[in-house]
This record gives sequence, structure tokens and C-alpha cells, in this order.
Amino acid sequence: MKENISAFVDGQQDNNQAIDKLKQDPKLAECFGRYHLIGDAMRNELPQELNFDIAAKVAQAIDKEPVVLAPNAKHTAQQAVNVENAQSTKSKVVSFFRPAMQYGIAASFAAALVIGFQVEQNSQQDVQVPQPVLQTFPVGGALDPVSMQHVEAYPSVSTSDAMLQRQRINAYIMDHAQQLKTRQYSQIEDKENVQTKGAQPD
Amino acid sequence: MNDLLLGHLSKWTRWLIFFSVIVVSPRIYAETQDAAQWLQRMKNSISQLNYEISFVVVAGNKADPWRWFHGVVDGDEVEILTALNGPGQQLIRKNDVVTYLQPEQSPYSIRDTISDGPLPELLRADLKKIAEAYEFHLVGKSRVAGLPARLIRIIAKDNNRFDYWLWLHEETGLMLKSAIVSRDGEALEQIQVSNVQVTDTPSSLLTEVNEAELPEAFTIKNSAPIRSVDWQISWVPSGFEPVKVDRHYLYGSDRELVDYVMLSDGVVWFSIYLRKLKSHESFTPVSLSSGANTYLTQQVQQAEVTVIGKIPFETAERLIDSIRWK
Repeated sequence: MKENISAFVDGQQDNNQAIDKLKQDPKLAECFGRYHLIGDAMRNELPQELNFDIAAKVAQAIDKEPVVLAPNAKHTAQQAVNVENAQSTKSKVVSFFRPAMQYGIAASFAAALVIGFQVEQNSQQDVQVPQPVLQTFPVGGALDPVSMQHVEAYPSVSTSDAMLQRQRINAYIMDHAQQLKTRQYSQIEDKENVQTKGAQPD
Repeated sequence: MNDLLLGHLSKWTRWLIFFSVIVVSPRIYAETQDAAQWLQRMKNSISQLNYEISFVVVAGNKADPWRWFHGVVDGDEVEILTALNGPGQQLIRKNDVVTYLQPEQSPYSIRDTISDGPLPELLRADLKKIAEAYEFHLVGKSRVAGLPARLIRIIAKDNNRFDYWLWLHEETGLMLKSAIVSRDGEALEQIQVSNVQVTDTPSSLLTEVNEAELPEAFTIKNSAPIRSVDWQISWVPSGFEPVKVDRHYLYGSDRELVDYVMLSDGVVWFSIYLRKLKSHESFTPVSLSSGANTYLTQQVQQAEVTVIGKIPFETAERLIDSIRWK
């Protein structure tokens, strides 16, 4: 049916049956809209602003997500087994689509942005921590938290600490993006800092 | 009689080996040489020609369209990359200064850096560096974006990194398509060009940008390297070296102190974080993937180790397994 729609959008098919089905099935109608949008994008006819309304969708998804109050014992128990199994299953890393997790990350990602990025120096730390010179943001198309998918060998985060952990995942991803933006051509001069024992040829 | 036959056979085998050496190996050599020449040609073209390219980045279930302007304006190399979807991010590069522009964020410029954008770093990487870890193969001709193209496969010499496939325009050497491919042959991330225009003079947009006043460029110094870390990585994929080592507060946090190491082989850059856990603290190991990116967090003794970057999951896992305390 999708092929029919595609053909219809491209003007290759003038089929009443397709139009009838489009009218009846909201999913197909959405598909029709999307194909048109793709067509517009390819022809460079996109309007100035596109109303994807992602925020509303994320909010909706969060509303639908069940609130986990107790740590999921099943998951925790499985985890140990899974980690053990990881050795054998790791060769087939399958991208495993988990919308709930993705939206969850998106939401906490937004929350982190609202809280702000004031980085303060803790005077009680006796280590020298540099003040970040600037705060960067990931460029679209690069790695962003919303796009991450679960790898099967590991369970999804479903304990009561999930929220905190998601925030941390975001923080790591954002930090990685920042590090990529502030990397340099030159290698560090003082390599004694970290002792990587050279490369072992495989 | 039997002996004679065997003798003949082995003679034939010897001839066969002789011929393979004479005929085949120069061919492989020539193929590699040709591939290297094509890569050099691509590098020259992308930095010297005036062009406008539209492309789509496909990673996982996402597709992001971009427009890429490049030109040489009064001897300066100017490049603009614009995201066509979403709020409209831009990346402007003028020689060695990269400026990032995003809506509702103040723009900033960084000097002497490698741009972090939609294009693979491989395109501008040093050929010698690439040759250390990858083999080049000129595979064949095909048609991409309506243009005749040459496919060059850049195959990793070990299993610790991904392969790259590049389709280059026969006439100009510009990239028409690229793919980051796993060892299983799965395309994890692809860039598909839909339109290429090469012009004699740079686009007026580039001339404008060249004259525009951009934010003053930051020069990033390696921030406060750690003098004494009590941990070490005993295995890193061959060719990778630390390019950045420091201790900093995790992005957006003023409490989470992390030891940080960035490793690179000149083609791929990835991050390793080590965060000391408090005595009662524990967490669930997490593994995520997005296109070619791997995100892996595991507990190593009383620390949380996180690896992020465009490396295979197995490499990240092996690296974490190799972390030791002094």
C-alpha cells in the first residue's frame, strides 16, 4: 500500500482505490503527508518553519510511559546473566528499538537544558579542575541522545535510579560532543600522563 | 609414472605460484596505488574547488539533509554547512577557524580544530595516517547521484574499527556517497549526495561570509592534564594515541568529576570517561548505539567507565576490560 502512496505522491498513479484507502486509514494519511514532505525537501520547497511538533510528541510519550516506582527485580536479576552472556552474544550487536527509553532520554535531555550549565568550581576539591572555556552543543546529524538505541546484550534502565542515569547518559553524550568540538590537530606533548602501553598488534 | 605425474603437478603448482606473484601482486599494488591517488585527488578537490553540494546523512532511522558550500575566496578557504531540517544549525569554516551557529545560542569560533559536523573526518585526514590502519581498494565504477563514480573501499586492517566506502565523482574526485560499514558489511551511517555543482567562482554566499564579522576565535589548550592518575589502559586498538587527557566536571554538572581521555588514530576520535563511585553507589551497565556511534558504560571496580565514539562495540568492551589500577 505504501508503494501505491509513493507512486500516487509522485503522480505516477491515479488510483481511486488508493485515495479511498488514504481517507479511511489515518496511518496511511500520515504516511501520505510524510511522503509529500520528503518530496518537498528533495525539491527544496520546504517552508521556513516546519511544524513537526516534536515537543508535544515527547510530552505525550512521557505521559503514556508507566511510572516505575519499584526497581524491576526481573531486570536486575537478568542483568547478571546478560552480562555473562554478553561474551557470547556481543558479536551480534543488534540495534534494538525502544521508543520508551528514547523519549525518556529526550525528556531528561530537555530538563538538563533548563537547569542550565553553570559550572562552578568546588573549592573543597584539591584537584585542579579547569573552567570550561565555552559550552558547545551537538550539531544535528551528529550523535544526540534522542537517537540512541539499545543494544540487546544489556538491559534497559528501569530501576528507580533510571532518571538520574538517563541524565548522566545525556551529560556524557553532551560532554563527548563538546570534546569533539574542542579537539585539536596536534597531539598532546606530555604523554606520560596516561600510560597506554602502546598498541598490541592483533 | 606416479612420481612423474606428481613431479609435473608440483612443477605446475610452482609455475602457478610464480605467475600469481608476477601477475597478481603488481595488480593489487596498482589497485592500492590507484585508490590512494583517487583519495589524494578527492582531498585536493574538496579543499580547492568551488562547489555547492546537497546531501543527506542517514544514520539508523534518521535522515538529515544538509547543504555544503565551499570555495576559495581571495586565497582563503571558506566552507558553510547548513542543516536543512530542524532549527537551522550552521557550521562555518574559514581556513583553520570553525564557527558554530545555532538558534538561541550565541555563536562561537574555535581556532586550529577539526570541525565536528556531518562529514566524516576521513575526508580531510592525512593519507599516511589512514594508510597505517586501513587498506585502500579501488573497486569499480558505478553511477551515483546521476554521475559516473568510482568506489573506493577503505578497509580496516584489524577488527577494532569500522570500514569506510567512498564513491568519488570520476570527473572531479568529489565525494558523491560515503558509508561507514561494520565488519559484517552493514552500512551503519551513510551520506548520499543528491546534487553537485562545481563553479569557476565561489558562491556569493561565501564571499559574504568571508567579509562578515564572526565571533573571535578561542584557542583551546589542553586543559590541566592530570599529573597522576591511578589507573591505566593496558590495551588500546593499534594506532590509537591519547590526544587529550584531563580531569573535568561532566558537562552541565558541578559535582560529577571525571577523568577524561580522548584517543585517536587520525581518522576516528573517541572518548573514555572514568568516574569514581561512592562506596554505596551502583548503577546498571548501559550500552546504546546510534549509527556508527557506540555508548558503553560498565563498572570497573569502584569506578564507572564510559566509552563513546564511532568504534565497534567489541572494541569499546575490550578497552574497558583492559583498565587496571596501578
